[in-house]
Amino acid sequence: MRSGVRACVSVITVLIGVIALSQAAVAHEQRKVGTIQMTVGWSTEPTYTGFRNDVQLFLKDAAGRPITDLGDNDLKVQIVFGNQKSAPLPLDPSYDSDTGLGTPGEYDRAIIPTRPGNYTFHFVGTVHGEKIDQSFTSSEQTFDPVQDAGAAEFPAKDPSPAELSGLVQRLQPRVDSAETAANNAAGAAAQSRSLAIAAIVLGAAGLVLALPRRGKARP
Amino acid sequence: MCRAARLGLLCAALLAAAAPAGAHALLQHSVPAGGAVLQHAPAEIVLTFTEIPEPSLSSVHVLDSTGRQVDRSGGEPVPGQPLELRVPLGPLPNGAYTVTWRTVSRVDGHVTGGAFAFGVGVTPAASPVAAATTFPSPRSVVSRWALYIGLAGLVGAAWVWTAAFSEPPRRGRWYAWIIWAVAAAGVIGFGLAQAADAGVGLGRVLATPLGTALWWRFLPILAAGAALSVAERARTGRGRTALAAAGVFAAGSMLADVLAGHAAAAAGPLRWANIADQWLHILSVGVWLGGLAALLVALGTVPSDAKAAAVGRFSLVAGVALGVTALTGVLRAVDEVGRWDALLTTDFGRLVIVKAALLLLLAVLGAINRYRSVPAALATLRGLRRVGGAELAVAVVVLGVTGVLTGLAPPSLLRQAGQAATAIIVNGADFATSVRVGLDIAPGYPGTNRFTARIVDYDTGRPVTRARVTLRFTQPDRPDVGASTLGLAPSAPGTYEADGANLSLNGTWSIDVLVERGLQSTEVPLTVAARTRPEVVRAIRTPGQPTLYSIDIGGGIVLDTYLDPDRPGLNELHATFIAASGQELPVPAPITMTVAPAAGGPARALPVRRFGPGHFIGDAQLGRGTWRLQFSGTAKDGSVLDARLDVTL
Repeated sequence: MRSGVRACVSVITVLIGVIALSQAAVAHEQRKVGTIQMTVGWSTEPTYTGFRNDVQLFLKDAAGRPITDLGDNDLKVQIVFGNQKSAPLPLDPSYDSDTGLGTPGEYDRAIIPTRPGNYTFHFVGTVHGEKIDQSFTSSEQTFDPVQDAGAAEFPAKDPSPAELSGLVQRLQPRVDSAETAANNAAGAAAQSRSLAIAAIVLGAAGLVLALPRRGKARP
Repeated sequence: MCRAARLGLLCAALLAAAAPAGAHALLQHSVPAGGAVLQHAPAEIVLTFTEIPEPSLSSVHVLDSTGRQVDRSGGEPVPGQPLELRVPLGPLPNGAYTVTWRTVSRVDGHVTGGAFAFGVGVTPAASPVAAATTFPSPRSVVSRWALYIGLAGLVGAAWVWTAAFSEPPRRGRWYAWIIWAVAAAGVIGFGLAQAADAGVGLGRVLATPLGTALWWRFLPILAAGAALSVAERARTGRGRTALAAAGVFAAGSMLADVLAGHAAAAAGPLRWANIADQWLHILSVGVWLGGLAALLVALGTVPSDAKAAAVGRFSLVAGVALGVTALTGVLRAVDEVGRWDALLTTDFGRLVIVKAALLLLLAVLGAINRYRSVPAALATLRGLRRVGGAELAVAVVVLGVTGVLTGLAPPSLLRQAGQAATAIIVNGADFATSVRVGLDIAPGYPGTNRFTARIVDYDTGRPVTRARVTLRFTQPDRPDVGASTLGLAPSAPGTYEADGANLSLNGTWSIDVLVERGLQSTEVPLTVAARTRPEVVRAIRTPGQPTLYSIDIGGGIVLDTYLDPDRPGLNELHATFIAASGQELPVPAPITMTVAPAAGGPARALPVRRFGPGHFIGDAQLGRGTWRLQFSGTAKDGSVLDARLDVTL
């Protein structure tokens, strides 16, 4: 009876452990490609515009062992945002076998996301002879979309470089438009002044012409 | 083409170029919304109206709970947003605030007003968005009435004395000038009425687009006067042309009046159809009833062959005009009233019924003339004069009813304002000022809502199309509640919609609207206070026992509460939360109970003791009167348990 309880406790403990460990990868997307298991996401979440982050990839083989022997050009990542695509970028291993520091099987690519929204990571290359051509897109079910940092800023909410850049781009046409309107107004004022002078001259000429006639009419 | 027709075309072209008009500037929505509870004082209040208000004649004020005005400007226009007025605010302490507004429609000067409340850090007293459209003032009605009588008379005289008769009657000279003077006095009186309604001088009204609309009505009347003057002095042929021109100018003034009325207020492809319909309506009234008055003036009492022939020609045209009046009138009523129930439940609808009944009476009198008096016209004009006189008397009443109708807000417009008030509407823009977002949340209560985002370019106001729009919800006061997102699908150019239950709890929510357009992607932060759901209360009364109240507070949870002994004096206030399963719902921390006079006054917290897992008792010393009892707690799963009840002792 006691052994049964122990077994149950052990199973529950293992299950809790598995669930607890899997929490670390909640905001990552996991996918099996042939014999390779890929886990993809941001290294830091929530992900904010204007702050350095990394495209994070964990690779494991069929036996669940971390893959640590990936060559420099074996696998690259292309970052896609809207209709913008980066060049294929190499991945840097996090694990250093000499010092033992880092996480075995983790590969990163540093990036500063500058616009809020959904990003796609497109991996192309070969891992242990397995051809890889896989895209991973941020979403509520996979990994976080990028958001403006305002929500996390304290005490003041400062605009991000992207917001400042957008504002400057928006201001320039408004300044140009105001300048054009001012020039048009100045032109119209000058035209009105010319017309007023011409009217005064005409009026004066009319007076000059009218005065002698009145003089002639009197006798 | 005769000269009169050319003049008419010119007049119509000029009037068509005149600015389109609004009708009643009712409140469509506001930021903050009525009843909103804000965490921080807003920097400004922005009100959006159903029609363009005239900023210089409209006012918006914000009052604190003592009635002191706390705004700086009293309302000012928002650049590029003609439908909006804003009120900048300084720092405001926590408290309840009332926004009162009074608008004057930019073109026809209709006055509307209302008030709503919002709270900073506190819940404002329950005050739904109240929109009051004032009944038109007597001088406004009388002046419109005079304008319609004068213009109809001019149109009728012009056609009857040039087409039905071979030449204008001698006795018509004074009649023509009298109806012209009535029309001119109508416009002047209307301008004075608008100024009085707006509480300003006539000069100030004339400096606004309202003044422009008055001039568009008045100038054709002046031109008609000039034409009448020419007709008086000229020989027969030229005189007829001048008289016809006077009629055309009167028709032009009618068109100017239509362009400044309800028919022109609607947007969309049917706007010009509505304008044409309304113009035809009053033009046909002029041809029919104005023509009848001119006919009776010209006939005198002695019959003749020529007069009988003129009566025959008039009768033919009047029959067609009657048909056109009825058809165009029905079309306008359908557009403005919209629903059958509005015919009986609104002032506008009831007046439409009265007008229709009077028009039916006119049609009956017209038929008597057509089939009895007209055939007898060769022998006697007595019947025609008697029935025609009765027709004119009824027509004068009809035009008076029309004067009131044109001053009232049509039910369709009231519905537009009412519908908007049922949704929470928040507006915002991104820091880079690249887009403006208006987000409608209907019905705005915790639970499933329809989210509709209208996104336009910040500068041009053009709809932003082909964007991917996502809403991200967080509740700053409840960091334990995770963020959620909702993708919106495009439904119309610049409009994106979806249903979602993301607004899951009472309180203030931050909604970041992510607008993805490649490199132009941006986020617009918005803050929304979810509405408190109206509570469903069932009272169970048993003789000799305190009344038991069951309050449905959402999510299947019910609060059972009663006062013991339910009489003035010291009472025990019992509150028990019941879960959807029917079991008592455990509430970990003691709840708060407050009582306050329902008519207003400070609330006091009651000492509360636990009596069970979800059962609490507060001791309340209550006098005679109506008391507002409020309960607030938090369930084990974090959901908010709020309820309110008014009881009378």
